[in-house]
Amino acid sequence: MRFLSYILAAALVVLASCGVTPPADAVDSAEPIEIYPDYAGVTVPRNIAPLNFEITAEAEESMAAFHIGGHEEYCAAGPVVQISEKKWHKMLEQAAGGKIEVVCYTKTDGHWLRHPAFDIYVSDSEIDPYVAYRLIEPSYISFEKVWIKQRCLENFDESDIYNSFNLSCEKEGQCVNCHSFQDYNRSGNMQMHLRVGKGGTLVVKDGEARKVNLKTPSTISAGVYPSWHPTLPLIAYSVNETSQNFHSTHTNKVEVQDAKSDLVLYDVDANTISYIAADSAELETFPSWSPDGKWLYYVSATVPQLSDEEMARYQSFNYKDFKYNIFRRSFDPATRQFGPTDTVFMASEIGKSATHPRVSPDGRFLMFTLGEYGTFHIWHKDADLYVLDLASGDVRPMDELNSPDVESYHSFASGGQWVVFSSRRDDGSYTRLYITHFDENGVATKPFLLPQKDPRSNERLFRSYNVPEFMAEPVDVSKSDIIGAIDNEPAQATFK
Amino acid sequence: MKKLKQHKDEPRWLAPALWVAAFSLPFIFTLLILGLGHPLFLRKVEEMQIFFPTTDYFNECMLMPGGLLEWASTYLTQFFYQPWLGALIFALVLAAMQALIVKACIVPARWATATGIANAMLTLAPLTLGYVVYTLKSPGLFFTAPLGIASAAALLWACRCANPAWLKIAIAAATALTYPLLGFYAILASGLIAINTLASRQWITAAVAAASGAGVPWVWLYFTDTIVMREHIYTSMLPRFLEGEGSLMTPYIVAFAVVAVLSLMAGHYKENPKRPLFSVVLSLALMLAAYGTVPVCKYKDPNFEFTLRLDRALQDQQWSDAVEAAEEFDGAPTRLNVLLTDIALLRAGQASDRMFAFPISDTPYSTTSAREATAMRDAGARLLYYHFGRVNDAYRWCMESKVEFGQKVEYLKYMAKIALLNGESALAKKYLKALAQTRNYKDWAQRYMAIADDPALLQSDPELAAIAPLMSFGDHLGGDGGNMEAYLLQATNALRGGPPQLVELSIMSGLIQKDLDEIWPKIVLYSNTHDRLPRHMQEAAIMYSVLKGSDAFRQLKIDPQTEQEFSQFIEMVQANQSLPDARKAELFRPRYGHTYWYYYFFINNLKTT
Repeated sequence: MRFLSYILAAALVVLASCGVTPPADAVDSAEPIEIYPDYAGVTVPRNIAPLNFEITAEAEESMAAFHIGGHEEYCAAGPVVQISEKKWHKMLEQAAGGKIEVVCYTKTDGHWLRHPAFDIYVSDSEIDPYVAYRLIEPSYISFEKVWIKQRCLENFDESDIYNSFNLSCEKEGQCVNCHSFQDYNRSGNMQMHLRVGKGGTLVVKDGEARKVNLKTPSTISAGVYPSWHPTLPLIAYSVNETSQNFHSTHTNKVEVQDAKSDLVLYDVDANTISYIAADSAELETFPSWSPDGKWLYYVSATVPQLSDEEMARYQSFNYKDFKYNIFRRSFDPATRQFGPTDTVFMASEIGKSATHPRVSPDGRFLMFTLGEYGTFHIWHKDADLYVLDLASGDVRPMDELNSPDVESYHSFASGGQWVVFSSRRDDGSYTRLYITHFDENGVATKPFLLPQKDPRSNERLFRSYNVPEFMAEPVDVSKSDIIGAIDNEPAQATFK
Repeated sequence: MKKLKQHKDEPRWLAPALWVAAFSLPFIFTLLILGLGHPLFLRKVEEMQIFFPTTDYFNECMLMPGGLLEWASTYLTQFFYQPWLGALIFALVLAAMQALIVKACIVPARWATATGIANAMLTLAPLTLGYVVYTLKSPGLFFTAPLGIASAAALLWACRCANPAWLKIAIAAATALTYPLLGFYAILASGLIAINTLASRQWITAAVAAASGAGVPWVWLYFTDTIVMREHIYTSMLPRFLEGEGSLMTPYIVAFAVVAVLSLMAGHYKENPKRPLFSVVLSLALMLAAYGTVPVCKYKDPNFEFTLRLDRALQDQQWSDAVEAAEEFDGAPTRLNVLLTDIALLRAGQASDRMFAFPISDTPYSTTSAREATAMRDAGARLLYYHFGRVNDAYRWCMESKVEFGQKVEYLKYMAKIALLNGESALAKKYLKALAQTRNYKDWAQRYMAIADDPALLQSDPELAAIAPLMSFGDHLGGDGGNMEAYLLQATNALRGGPPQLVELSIMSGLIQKDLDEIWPKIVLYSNTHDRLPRHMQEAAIMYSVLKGSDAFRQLKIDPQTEQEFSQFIEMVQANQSLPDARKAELFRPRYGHTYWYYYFFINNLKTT
């Protein structure tokens, strides 16, 4: 049925686009055109899906014409400008390394106006064709329908990797989170967590899906924030004792806090867990391997040694004192031994807190999220993206990406020239994915919102996009294999 | 189609009269029962779901097997906004369903009225919900079953009429393929075809219908991105109730059974029964009895009705209507109703004079044990927190409920207003744009959109302007931990000052909590900043001073008559010291039941959530 509706929609688009020609009698207007999403001046990969948009200016009629090298290539009726995929990709090929000029027309009081053109710059480089994300309402403790989805960036195909609702609801309701892929899923190895109903961690390796229980008597929790080693069957996890507290008035609304947290290493083949870092005075979390697999980056905050009760009180009243810094430890893939801790960036020294360290594929830049305090920056409106040049040690806010609202999770595409990150800039609550070009000097371009077939879907969707991760290949484990594995009792990991 | 001939003993007018009765009686009964008897309930049903005229919404519905039914049902449910119109449409849909059953099952005139049993059961079914309406996960519940049964009957009719045999078999097989559109009702259709063809000894058709009905849902589960739960694949689009609520399914089961029996009988009625009038009378009696069960078996709880009245009045800002509802209620209220009454009194400017004059109790919520602990939260969290100015908590529970119970008009309205109060214009616009697409809330959304565009207009909206001063307290981390009333009252009572409205609310909370130490300085503050000290504050002030052995209350604006009444109260206490507490409460109620003193001394150990 969904398929049918797509066919219908496509037919309507074709019909609407047929015979659309810009009005010859249009008068030039100095008024810049208002469109949603704002795609004016963005840089896009040469294989991206059509940047459909809505002309939001009030008008009797509207349309958009696309020019390359001064020649009109395509014209589509508005206000919802839905571009033929075939035509769009042809235009991208033509404009690669250059730009597409978009001229919008609006008709008011029977007269056509031609608004100033805006450009869409087309990069020579391609983006990884898939991105995986979690779709979830920005709730606090409730969950009912949660998806891990994969989206083809070259078109609008979106499919489930898993949806939690197939197997559980109500008291046994299942939350699914923290998907992670090895080497952009080129190996087909991935993992994700299932909480509460049929809980455990689903690990797919060499095409085989199985569920494991990563909680051992020696660790404070099952695995939480994951990072697959780029080449070895190893996953670094944080293990966390997490709680939530609610703001009575602040629009940040909720604080997600750790009272304890450590880092562990999970050997997928041996099904064993060992500590990487477990200092009770430190809250180590958000592990992230460098692309060469020789460093493990993470963040950690120093906390006073308190009883559980005292810590709960401390978290309530001193939550702004939790400042996370970025560290790393070397890793020898041959011996699987970690080296000593190396300080990367002391955010606390400037009164800030850093999370989500991610190293660019060329190993030169470290992108991270910086906020005033705490670990769960997706709920912190002051959270912004920063970049650290690992060669020079220079740190700067990525003003070209940041907004007055939240910027948080981010990941590099395998080629290093594209970054996807989550932001709440649209409405302050529902996280959306933005993509930006990232050059060899660590400078990004104006980001663009993940294109949708119907651009209004972004406004209409009451779910957030979490944890965007690029994939070179889609997940191709069958639904029945995943459901079968989740149905099974988990294999218990052992602590080594 | 084979038509039964008229029986030789039957008068000519009987058959037409029976058809008229078969359709008109259920139509009238349903219309009257719903339109006359349950307008507030119908409004609540409409508020606790949403319909968007967008492709996105259609696609979202279609993720669930039976999504077409859900889409159509939520569309029709919108008309309950005008309860009589909604009731009329519902009665018409039932009549259409009945007509299809009659056609599909070749029901003769003498059994025509029996088809109304299904109408009666489907009228009764939603009326058994009670508090479940606040948490129902089955949007469009009223219409899903009638539309589903109508679809199943249409498929049976198509199959029965098909000729030659291979076409019949093809339709029997294809019926299950409507599973993505109809969910359970596709399986019901397969079942009806199987029953009907079994009775006619068409073994292959029956087997094909049964096998496809059993198999298609599994194929759909494993090979599509459907979001149906595996354990619900055969019941998708049936109402989702919790454990222990099986009885709520009874009317549906009876309705399905009636249709199943009629499909079994299709084509097998005797042409010349020995006692045709017996069939006529029995059929009519069964239909009347089925409608008779509606007032008997429907959910009846005065507190629930009271909640609906208060909820409606508060949402419409009709404070006097809410106070009137409280005055008319003569039972023992639930804690939710006590607090909603207090809010209504506060908004009407009467709380500090009258709130303890109304019945105060902790009557349990008349619902299943699975829902009792959360009934207050599910029905009232957003209302209570919002009207107490704790908008972050109200927003939180809207969001939690939206996640768990699905998108509903009521949640979006609160979320939009809260975003405006919080200064989150972009977020407010998101909710308002959504509401602006609906049939019933365009104007509402446009009114508030103006505030989102120009936040300075917030003060011009009486509702928001009344809530804004109640938000004047500092930020801290916390949460209700599942005990909403205690958290709400403690947090409000703990406030030290603020705008006059907030001070009064804080005193009210302290009075309810019997925390005189906390409220005394606020009463002094109130007395110093107002011309008159309300009755309950006077009562509390006198009592507090006397209990502390001081006459500090004399600095306040105390009515001499109140002071005198308290002296008499104390004398009466001393005179009856030896009586057991329950006896004393009984003795004091006629004279002091309306005072804070009575509440303070005689109403204890209230249980709440």
